[in-house]
Amino acid sequence: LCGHIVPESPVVPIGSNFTALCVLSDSCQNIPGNVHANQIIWKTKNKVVPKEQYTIINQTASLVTFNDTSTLVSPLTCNILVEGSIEQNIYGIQVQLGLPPEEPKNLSCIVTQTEKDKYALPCTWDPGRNTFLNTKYYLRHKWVYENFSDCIPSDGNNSCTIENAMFFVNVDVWVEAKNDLGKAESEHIKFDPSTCVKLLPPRKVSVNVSELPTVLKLSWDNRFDLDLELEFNIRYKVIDSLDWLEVPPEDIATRRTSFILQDLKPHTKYVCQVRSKIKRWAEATWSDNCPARWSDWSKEAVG
Amino acid sequence: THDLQNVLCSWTTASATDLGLSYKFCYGLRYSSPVCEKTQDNRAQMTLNSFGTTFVGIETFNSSANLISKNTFRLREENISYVPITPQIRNLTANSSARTLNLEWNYGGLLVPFDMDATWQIRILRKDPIETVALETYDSKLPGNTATILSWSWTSDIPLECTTHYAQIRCYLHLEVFSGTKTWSEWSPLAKMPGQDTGSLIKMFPVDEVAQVGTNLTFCCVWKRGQSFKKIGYSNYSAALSPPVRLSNWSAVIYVQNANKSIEAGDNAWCEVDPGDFTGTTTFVGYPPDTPQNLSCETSDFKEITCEWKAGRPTNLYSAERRTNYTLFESISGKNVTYNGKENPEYYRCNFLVLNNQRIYNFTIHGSNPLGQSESSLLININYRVHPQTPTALTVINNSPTHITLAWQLSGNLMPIMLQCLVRINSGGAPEDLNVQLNGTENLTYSVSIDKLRPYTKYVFQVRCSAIEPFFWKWSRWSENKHHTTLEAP
Amino acid sequence: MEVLPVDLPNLRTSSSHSQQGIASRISQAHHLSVSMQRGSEQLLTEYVLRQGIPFGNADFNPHVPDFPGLPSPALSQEAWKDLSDAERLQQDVMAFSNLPAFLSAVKRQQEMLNSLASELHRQLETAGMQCRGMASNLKSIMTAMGLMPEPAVPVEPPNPVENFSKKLVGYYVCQLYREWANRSEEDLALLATKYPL
Repeated sequence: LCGHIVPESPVVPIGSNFTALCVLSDSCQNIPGNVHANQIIWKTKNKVVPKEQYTIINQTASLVTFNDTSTLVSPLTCNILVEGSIEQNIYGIQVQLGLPPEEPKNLSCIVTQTEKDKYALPCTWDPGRNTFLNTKYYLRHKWVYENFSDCIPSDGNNSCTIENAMFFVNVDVWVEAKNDLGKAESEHIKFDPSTCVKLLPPRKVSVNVSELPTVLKLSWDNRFDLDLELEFNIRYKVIDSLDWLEVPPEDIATRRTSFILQDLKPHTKYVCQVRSKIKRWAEATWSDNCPARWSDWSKEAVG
Repeated sequence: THDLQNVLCSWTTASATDLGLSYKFCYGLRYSSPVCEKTQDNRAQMTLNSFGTTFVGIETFNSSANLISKNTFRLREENISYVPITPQIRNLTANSSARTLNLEWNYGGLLVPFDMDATWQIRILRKDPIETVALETYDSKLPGNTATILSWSWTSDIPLECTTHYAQIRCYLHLEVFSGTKTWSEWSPLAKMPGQDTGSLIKMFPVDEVAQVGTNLTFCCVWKRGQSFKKIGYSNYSAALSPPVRLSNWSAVIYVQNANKSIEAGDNAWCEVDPGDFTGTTTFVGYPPDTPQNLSCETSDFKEITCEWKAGRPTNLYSAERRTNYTLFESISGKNVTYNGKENPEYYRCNFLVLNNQRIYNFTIHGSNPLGQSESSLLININYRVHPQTPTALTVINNSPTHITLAWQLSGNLMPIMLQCLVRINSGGAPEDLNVQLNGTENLTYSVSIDKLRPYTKYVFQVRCSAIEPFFWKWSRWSENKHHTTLEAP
Repeated sequence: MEVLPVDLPNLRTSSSHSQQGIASRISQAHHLSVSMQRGSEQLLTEYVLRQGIPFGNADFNPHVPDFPGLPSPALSQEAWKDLSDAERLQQDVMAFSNLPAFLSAVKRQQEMLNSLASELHRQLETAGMQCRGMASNLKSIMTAMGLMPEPAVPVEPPNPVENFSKKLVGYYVCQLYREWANRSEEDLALLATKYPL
């Protein structure tokens, strides 16, 4: 090698200025005609950089300055004019242009029940502008006295699922973005996962007729048996009708596995559905950060 | 006589008491001067005369040295009995896991004058009070004038730790040349193999045994001084359990007949003693590996041979220490591959690199677990076992209203074989199959031209391939569908 | 000496605010202890099921030995009442800081001995997580009460060679976990009466 460029493989913020130095080494001396730094020609992708941007430091070093990175296209090469006309390449570098990551925003998590006793914590966020660089995103979470390994998005950069959400311990969740130009951290959200669960819908929903023609008994199984209160929504409609009727929430605001529907049209087929939610338990002062969600509606039961 | 040289004589006297008596013992041939010796004992030694009568004279003197009686005897070889030297146990060792006692002994530290056949009787004793639990006979040759160490081993029906075991040995030499009576030697002193029933610990044996379904199991419990035995339990209630048998002050044993399959974590035997202590052990009951079944080996690309097989009867033994370990061995190249995939899959698979210039492979799949081993073999010519991979990257080139060229890729250097590929052409009606024969290539790409197509028509193409020369083995899977619409007629 | 005017309502509101903070932390921890009580019962049931008799026999209740680093949960009623809030919390913190090491040792052993028992492995994993969560909660309560939690004492869970001993140690650990879950529920229920919401 007859010379090299410093820095080697730079990452340059878009819109900033950039300088590079080409240093000729001793082995350049076997090029005929006593080489000098002022014979250096800088090129960006085979386009000669105007001489005004050069600064000759000494016999072996030439500096090039870019005040506007828009003209800074890779590769940036340092070349020498030998015997006045033959151009010989000395060295070249790849310049990466990009931006430091913005602070990830709108971090939102929902504790999702995946099986009877299993709860995951999928979180999504807005990664912000394109950085044009290889930017890594980490979903981080910890307890007051315990840290956990990062959740690294498997595809995309705006969501990750923490496998085991644990109830009744406040968790602090945030996103960190990092690339060669810097790192940024989202706002932290602190919550007790038990306050913001989206339960699996009730199952084995069934409708049974009763002695009275205007009454139906709706029953189901809950898939949640921790000692927290549940509240329900029940909706029902005449089969083939489009208008759902809902049971007043206050009538079904406690844990139950059945409900009597009354004042129905006699001898008429009804379609019913149930959904459930963990009732906000008063003392959870952090539940505002991550409110509970309704489960999906159960399968339709006809009776 | 013990050595066919010296004869030990002993005698009795009619007098009520032998106090103060002494004797003069003389022996000799008829016309030779006798050899005499004085003795206080009523025993003496003389040289064996194998070819005639020896005349023996015994004079008895009382404490005042007065001769009180005189007796003569005529002894021939037949009147003398040969009593071999008591064998000497030199070493008694135990292999606890194999439950074997290994005995090493010699012929009393002496040599026999010439080769002879010998019969040894070995007695194994245990329990308190001591009793014989085994009496075994063992024949061997004793080479003349050669110090010989003999060895023999005995397998115990109970773990050796359960109680102290003793061994004793005696021998009988088959002396054809001796016409006198031949008898067994004395029993050797007891050689002792201490058990763990010393009253110093509470424990059960065997520990973590692996046993075969249907065999009989033995569990013993040793406990501490001051504790009293209550019961031994075994968790597999379907098995027949004997009442506990006391072996010594601090040891008891139970026998389980016809052991049944254990649960994955092993069945437990436990022992309860007063006051309020207990111990236990775990036993894994299963099967040795079955003969590997449906062993089949094939290649898709002449780079790797994939062998697969089924385990056959489940062994009911799990985890690294007990599961079946499989090794695929190829005898021509001498190479082998160890299976390290999932435990108990439906099909086991091993990949073996194709070797340069080797077409014939003699595979043996060898399975082993603590209860035994089994194997299956298969001899193949890989040219006859080509199972092409699924065709990929279907592309249409040279598109025209009625004619196209369909190209696809098959991985692997398939030069050694002739391929047949089935192109399924579907345009909504009954699919039409086009069978083409192609030379195997090394550059993955194959193509076929298809004509008589209808212009501006939607077609769905699928391809599958197999070897046809030298041998059809298996079709590959069907490729993904390739949707294509022919050009409009001009 | 100059007497500074004290703004009682603010003092009261700030102290009642910290009182409220302590109360809600205690309530949260209590919810966790109730959940752990249920979880520890399920774990012990699943565990004995997988080890085979005599584990699970009605008359099988061997004395649980002491494990270094795990204080015995068993206390007489008087001794328990005599404990100060700080001592009560500190013993709970020590237990739940060290139980995870024991539970994960049992999990490793069961993954070898009972490789097919995935539900048991999951429950052991969850139990360990819940213990760490409880330790974190309890430390938060102590800090909120102005108490300094003592650093956890590193522990070396037993690692027996023989399989029956592994089963036994696992049984003891599951028992201890259940007893500490019950003990912490009682401790937190008592504290909750002192720090009502």
